[in-house]
Amino acid sequence: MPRVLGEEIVLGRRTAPSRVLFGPHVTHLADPHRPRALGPDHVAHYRARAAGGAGVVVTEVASVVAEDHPYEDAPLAPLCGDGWAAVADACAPFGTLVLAGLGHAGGQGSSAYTRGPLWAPSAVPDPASGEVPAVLSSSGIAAVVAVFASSAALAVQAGCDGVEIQAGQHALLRQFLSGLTNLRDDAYGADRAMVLVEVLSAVRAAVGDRVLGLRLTVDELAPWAGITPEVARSFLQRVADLVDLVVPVRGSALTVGATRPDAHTAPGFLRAACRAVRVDGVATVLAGSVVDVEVAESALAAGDADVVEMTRAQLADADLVARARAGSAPRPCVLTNQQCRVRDVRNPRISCTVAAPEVPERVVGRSVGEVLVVGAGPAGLEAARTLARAGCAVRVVERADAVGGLLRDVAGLPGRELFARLVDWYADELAALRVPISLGVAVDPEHGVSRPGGHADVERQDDPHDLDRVVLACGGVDRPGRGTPIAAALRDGLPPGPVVVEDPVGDGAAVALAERLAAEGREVAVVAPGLLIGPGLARTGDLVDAQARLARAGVRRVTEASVTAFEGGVVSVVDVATGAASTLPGAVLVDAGPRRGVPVASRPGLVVVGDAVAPRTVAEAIREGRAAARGLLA
Amino acid sequence: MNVLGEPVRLGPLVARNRIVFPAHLTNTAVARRPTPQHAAYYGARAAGGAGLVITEEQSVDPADRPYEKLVDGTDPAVVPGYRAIADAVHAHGALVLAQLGHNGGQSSSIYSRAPVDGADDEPDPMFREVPRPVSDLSWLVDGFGLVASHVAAGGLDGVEVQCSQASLIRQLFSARSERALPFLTAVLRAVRAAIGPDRVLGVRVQGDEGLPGGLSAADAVRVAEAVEPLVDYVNTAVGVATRTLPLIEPPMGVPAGYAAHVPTAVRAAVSVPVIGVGRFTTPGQALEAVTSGSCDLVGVVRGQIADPAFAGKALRGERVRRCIGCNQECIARVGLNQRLGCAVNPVAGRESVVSPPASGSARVLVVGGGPAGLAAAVAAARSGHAVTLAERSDVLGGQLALASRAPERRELANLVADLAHEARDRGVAVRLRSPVSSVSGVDTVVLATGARPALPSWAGGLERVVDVTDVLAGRVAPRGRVLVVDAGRGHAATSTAELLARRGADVATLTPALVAADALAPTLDRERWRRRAAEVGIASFTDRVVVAARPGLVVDVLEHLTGTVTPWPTDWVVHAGPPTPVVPELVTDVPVVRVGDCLAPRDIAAAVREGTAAGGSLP
Repeated sequence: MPRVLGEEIVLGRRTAPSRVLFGPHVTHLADPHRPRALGPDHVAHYRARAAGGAGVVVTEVASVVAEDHPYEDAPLAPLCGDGWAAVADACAPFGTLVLAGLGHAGGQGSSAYTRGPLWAPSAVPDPASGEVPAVLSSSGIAAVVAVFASSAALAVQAGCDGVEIQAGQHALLRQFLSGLTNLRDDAYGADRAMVLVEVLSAVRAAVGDRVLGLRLTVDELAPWAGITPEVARSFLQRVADLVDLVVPVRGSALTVGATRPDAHTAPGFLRAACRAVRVDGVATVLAGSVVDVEVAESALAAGDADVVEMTRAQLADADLVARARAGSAPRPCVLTNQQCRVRDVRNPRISCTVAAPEVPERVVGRSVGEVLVVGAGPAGLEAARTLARAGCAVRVVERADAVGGLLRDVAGLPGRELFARLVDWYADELAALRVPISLGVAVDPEHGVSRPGGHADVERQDDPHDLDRVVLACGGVDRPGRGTPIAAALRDGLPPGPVVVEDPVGDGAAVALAERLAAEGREVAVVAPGLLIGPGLARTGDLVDAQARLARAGVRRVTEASVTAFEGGVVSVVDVATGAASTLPGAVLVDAGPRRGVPVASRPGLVVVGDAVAPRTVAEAIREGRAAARGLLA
Repeated sequence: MNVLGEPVRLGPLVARNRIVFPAHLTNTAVARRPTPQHAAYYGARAAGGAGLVITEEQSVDPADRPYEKLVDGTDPAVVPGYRAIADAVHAHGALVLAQLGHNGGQSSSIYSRAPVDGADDEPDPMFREVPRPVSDLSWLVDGFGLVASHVAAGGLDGVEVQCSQASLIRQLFSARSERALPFLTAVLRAVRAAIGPDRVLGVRVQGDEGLPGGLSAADAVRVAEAVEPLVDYVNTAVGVATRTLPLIEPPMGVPAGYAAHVPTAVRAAVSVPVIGVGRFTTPGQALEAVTSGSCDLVGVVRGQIADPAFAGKALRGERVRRCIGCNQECIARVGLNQRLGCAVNPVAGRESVVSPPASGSARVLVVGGGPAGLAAAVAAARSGHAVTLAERSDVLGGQLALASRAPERRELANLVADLAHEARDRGVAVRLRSPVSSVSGVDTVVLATGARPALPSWAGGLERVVDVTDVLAGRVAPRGRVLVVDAGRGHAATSTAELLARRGADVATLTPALVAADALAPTLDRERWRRRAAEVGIASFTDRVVVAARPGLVVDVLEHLTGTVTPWPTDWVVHAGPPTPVVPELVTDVPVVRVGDCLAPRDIAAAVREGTAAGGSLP
């Protein structure tokens, strides 16, 4: 099936082989000995997307000057020449255009590594760090303009097809453009776009006829002082002659999570903004959670954009464009942000909830006898798919009457609906691979297979070899406790009345359950031991939004507390720091505490994976399912 | 010379004195190996006189990686790094041991991508991952032995086995597992076999987890007694690195010797030397710990970070630059995966890169006697310059002097006192009540004029809307209902709120943040503050900003998560927000260097660091 997104497009004087852009993102893929350079792992990361059909790759944003050091291994332009050259060389065989991301985080940077002050247009503290920056002088601004130009010159000298200049989130240039952060009383305050124009003019001079891209915040979601689409369009009109493509994005320092939101924000949220800021002669890129090929096609066909940025979709499936061209379904991005949003001081390497990039997907191994996969949750499904693709006979047994495991229940929660797509994708893949799946069959790994009815009527398998190669992916079990286990609450619903959810885990499940219950009109409280409800959402970018949703829904957030008793419609809680006791109305207490694994250890012929080992997230399930399959094949 | 200077035998070797630099995280490793910075860092404390240095923990299992910069001791490539550490410490006559440990369930899968291995399947309350219960411990025993062999190959003097703050062994003891003691015994035997009889083997035991039903001093005694035949000394600890971290690294409100009950109990039960720890920031406190009989050797971590020459000065009876327990750089930074630093000693964590100060004989004027100005004056005088420090007010210390008036912030004044003392010792001419408007007769100026409070626009000149500094300086004395607005200035709002509540005011704090007193969390001050705030009845409100104020006094408070605006009657509003740099128009034709808050209002560490750097690099 012909696909618009698979078509070539001319950008400036260059031609991109497809209309799909792989945008700049933090990776923590650097060689620790050269933390501010682009290393071999970066090259492999970009090459895989180029090989998969990406039209444009924008490399991780490099700081144009050492005083800007926003995270420990943030690339630094003067140290990136070799890395840019290696990326350009690696992507060249595929025709993919490589643009070097260039930026300066300004007041949204970090002083932790330079140990000097942050530099910004005005002394406005960043909401995230609270740090008051030093104010750039006019000579300081001139120096910034000069290093943007010299960095761009280095990038094209290294063989990049061009550069992309950061005026989006985490960007000094946006801070100059915005009334939130530019309170200057000099010419750079009177004309907030002056620095942007100076930088783009200097960069254009430096890159000649190479591609000059601009990533521009077109809506800071703060209309009282921030950049609005109308203002952004006027900025773009002024620089239209200088730039070849623009990537409109949104969000300010007050709304960092809005720039790359998780699935709580509907994909394609920038389409209207894209239309609003389009100017003649500049290719416009639709960004913003575009993970679905159909959505991308529709935006291109409607003329809302010329190119689509599908960064997370290409993290989930590096071969996205190739698959779209072939009419097959890419592995779906589920927009959890759990593994790929790694602007995190701990420097976790970028990963993906669904792709498990740590374990190669392609298998070269000898075929073995039939493998039994016990459990059709994500771990079992991934194991079965990996085995079947390697030509190995595999069958799946699942206790429930449908595949998906816990994912099916989780997909019923607000913001987690996309997990259903992942389950459907696996089901389609296994059907295409003709993997037999027996539903309603429970297995006791120590003994054998039982028919519906559970473990009571265990019968030994006819063929003992069947149990010689088993992937046990039966999931975790509930922990005995005071309340209704959250898994049961998700699956079976709850009796009427006020609900208290105790959440010592702090991932998204308890938050989402509380939201769903509140939306049903229930009185809901969430009790958590930490400083916040759902602290695990910090990694997804949803932490602040989650608090707002809970507050607006009227959910009581009881932090630094634990439940001491549940009796007669009253839940007693105690403040863990002060010892102060209080009570909450609760007809139901939901225990959102950790589940536990099953007491079965791996042994020759039996590999235990996923939640059965220790309950964790989808990412670990998929990773271990694939690794187990590879281990059996090796 | 006092008892701290007496040598002490640790099995086969003798430490030259009683002052220990115990194990602590530095986030100095690169690619999980020791670096030249490790060698320089430990070497500096040995040069400063420490008798025994114990390195930060070395992991015995590559998959055990709760934080990025944990050294993987199982990799033979660590040996040259160990050798460099041994050489750096031995060059100054101290002993150096490597601490070995396994974090068990107090770990993360973020780097290993594998389940964490715990004593049971109970998640750690900080990392919150469900561990895979460890069934077979023998491979871990082998891991300890392997790393110990690397320690010996690197020429270190021995090993300390950690069973205290972040440890699978502690977790087994804490879970009252029958496997705990046999495992520890096997580990100690394996380590001994690897290091032989000529090196030191110590064990660090947990004596107070700070949890109901948790391990106590009696448990520490039982463990110490059980393993005494296998070890050359016993080190002690309180607190669990994740759940009760403030017990391990208490902030400035906690008195020296707070952990003495553990070594005291252990020392009464065993005959090998016992190390005690407990926020000893002065030589006097360290001496008291030993003379009181609580311990044989005294562990001083932050005191020696703050002043690497602590030990030598303690033996000679000299003053040190004291740790003030601010925890800004040693604890907060390390908790954020950043290299250890020190607010009062800018060289800490950078020993391998700092060049000696320049020397010169210029005439230097430092304008401002806060921490930045004082640090600049000290550094410039140390470099040989002729330094005058001009302070506008009649006291030194700037914002620090004010901040130290609040409850549990008193030790901030120690930094002012120590810097002022050093300045006078080095011949700095200190002139109080000396505002500067024009400069002549000097070669260079260091401008350290700080920042002044800035009230928000909604304050509108209302009489009873004041800044925290107005309260701390005694210019106003709010009574009745006081709303303290925490708009971001570290401890300023919370400590002023406590001061007012203790004076009888009816205090509420209000912050736009999602968490009350959030700025106190990274330095481990927050839990104590919350308990004290509860004692004095402070109410805390989050997610709120003041958007208007009118006479009466009524402020309009916006709950930003919901958009709701509520009128809030009060008698006073006390505000803490970012101050504005003070940059006087100086008439001068000599170079002017700006440091500290007058460049950008920040914390103590930035002030001392920039002042020291500027003063130490003048031509």
